[in-house]
Amino acid sequence: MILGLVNAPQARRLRLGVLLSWPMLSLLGLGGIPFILLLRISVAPHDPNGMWMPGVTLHAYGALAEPELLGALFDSVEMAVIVGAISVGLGFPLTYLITRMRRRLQVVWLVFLLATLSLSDVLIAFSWQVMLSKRIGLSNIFVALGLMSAPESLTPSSGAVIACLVYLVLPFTVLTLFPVLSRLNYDLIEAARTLGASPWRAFASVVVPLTKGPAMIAFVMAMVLTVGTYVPPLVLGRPQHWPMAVLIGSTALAGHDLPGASAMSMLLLAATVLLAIGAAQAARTRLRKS
Amino acid sequence: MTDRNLPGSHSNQSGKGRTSRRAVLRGAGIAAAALSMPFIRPVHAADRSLKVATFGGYFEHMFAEHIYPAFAKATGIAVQSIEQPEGAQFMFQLNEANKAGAPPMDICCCDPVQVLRGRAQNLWRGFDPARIPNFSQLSSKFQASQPAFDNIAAMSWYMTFVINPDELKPAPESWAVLWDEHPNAWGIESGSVSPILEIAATIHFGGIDLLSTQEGIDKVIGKIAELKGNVKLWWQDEGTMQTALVNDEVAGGTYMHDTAMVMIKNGTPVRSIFPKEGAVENTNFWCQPSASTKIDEALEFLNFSCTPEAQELIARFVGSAPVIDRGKLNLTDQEFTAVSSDGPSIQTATQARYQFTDYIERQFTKMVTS
Repeated sequence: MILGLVNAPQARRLRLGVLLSWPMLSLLGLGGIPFILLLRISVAPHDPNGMWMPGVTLHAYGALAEPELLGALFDSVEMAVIVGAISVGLGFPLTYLITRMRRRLQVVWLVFLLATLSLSDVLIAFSWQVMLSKRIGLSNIFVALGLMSAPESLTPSSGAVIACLVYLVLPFTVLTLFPVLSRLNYDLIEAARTLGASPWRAFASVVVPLTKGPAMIAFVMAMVLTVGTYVPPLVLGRPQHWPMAVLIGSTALAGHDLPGASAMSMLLLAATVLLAIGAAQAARTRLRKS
Repeated sequence: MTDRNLPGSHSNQSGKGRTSRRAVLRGAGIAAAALSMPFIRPVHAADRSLKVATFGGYFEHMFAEHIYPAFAKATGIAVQSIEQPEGAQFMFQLNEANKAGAPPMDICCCDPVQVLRGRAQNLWRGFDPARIPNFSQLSSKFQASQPAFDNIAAMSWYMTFVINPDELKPAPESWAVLWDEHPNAWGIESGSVSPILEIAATIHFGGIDLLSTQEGIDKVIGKIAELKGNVKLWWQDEGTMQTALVNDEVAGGTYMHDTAMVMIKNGTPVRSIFPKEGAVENTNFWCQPSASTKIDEALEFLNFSCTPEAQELIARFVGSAPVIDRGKLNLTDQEFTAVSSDGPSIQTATQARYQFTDYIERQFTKMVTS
């Protein structure tokens, strides 16, 4: 009825608008409403018996200045940057290799990487705990190879947490880089090689500039996926390096302090947004320069 | 009209074709109904039912397999077993559901702090003592008078000194061994729920009374901080500690006696030790959300739970310690020592844990992460 009153291009625009508005609305609903609730709870007075009390206070935000919370925030960010860098550092050559394989092998690799995504992070963290243990862990293989004198436990340690997180994030990195690297024009590399560039030189001066943008996106995604991680640091890490998410969990679930945990979540969220914006900005500046 | 859009249906088929397919479906429906008929209980039995929630996993399976059938046999009331989560989220969810008039269970299993929290929120229904005559069978400490008669002791469980005998020789007799020179040896539960608070208070300050003030809590946490060099694993999830015990990652630590007994049954060479000062005793209580309408059935269940027969079944199959004195129970020495001990026990500092939850959690986190 309404469409009958407007002309054809307007009607098309209107239809398109209606079609496109529902993902926008659902995004607002699914992301916006929980965010507003979190914000509301973070400024509510703490209720030792229930969730929170009516009223407004900034008490929970005042408590954020504690050194152990700022330390945990720093640990979250540091861990995210390290895991992001390693996963791109490993994921890039891996994806490059996969794209150079036969079609059938490529499919096998992609299916394998996709399949690891179906495992729960709880299961993966426990598997790493067993794999790094003294009794049946990796160190026994090192002993058999003569690299170590006696088996020892490799957890809890930051290395264990980072290894587990890289395992969790790597498939995302590869799947992000795969479309770009598989569409790469290899004639350009061959041209560089014909003109006398070494393989490394050809890679550095042709492949890297062409794929910088997507590599940065993969890096930012790996960081964002890592910054809120909970289970691997809890199972494999030392308390001194527990990231913010672990402290949020214990504040809410064991400490029964939802406003405190919500304020901590807002801080982590702000840090994540700043981190993502910073990385994107850095990528843009670099791209403009190159 | 109805089946035109179904995948695999053919809209150009004749009416006869559709009718015959419907006939097949109708036939299948009748057959299914006929097949399921023997399992339909008489209406009055379906009316007499109760939803009971316990902590998930092995615990809940054992209740569903051994305890509820015995109750159903004794009373004719069928129990639907529900898994309930642990931690704060359970209370948050239950409170909201109860306010909405639809609690997911008629009876739930609470730790003593949850009993107090629920009471402060008017979450629990008060019981009529006259309707639970077996209440007098419980051990005297579970009959102590309270501000409200809204909970009934269900079962107890102990946090013991669980060790790997190959890694720790000789086996410890006292909790004081935790503070001896054993670098990177222990797995200790972390956070405000940890029994290490009561253990440290008992070993170093003569009892749990010190935990009733913030200054006292600071002192106790200061003593726990001395353990940091000895603790390899500050665990929050029991699965982490279990994996660590199975893989020789830790020589020992604080762990649940009942879970350790299941591990031993499954072939893991651990030992669960009741130290001379006592293991830390925790008790779970049955509570009824006030919006549950199954009042009579709930009272019958609570009365059943207070019988020696029910407590014997709980000891034998669930692996929890009975809340009735040993003299009234028909348990062999082996059955009793598998779940409990005649020695002293360290009581949980319930009031302190209720009053200072967030303070203890904050101070503990500060200590452990620094």
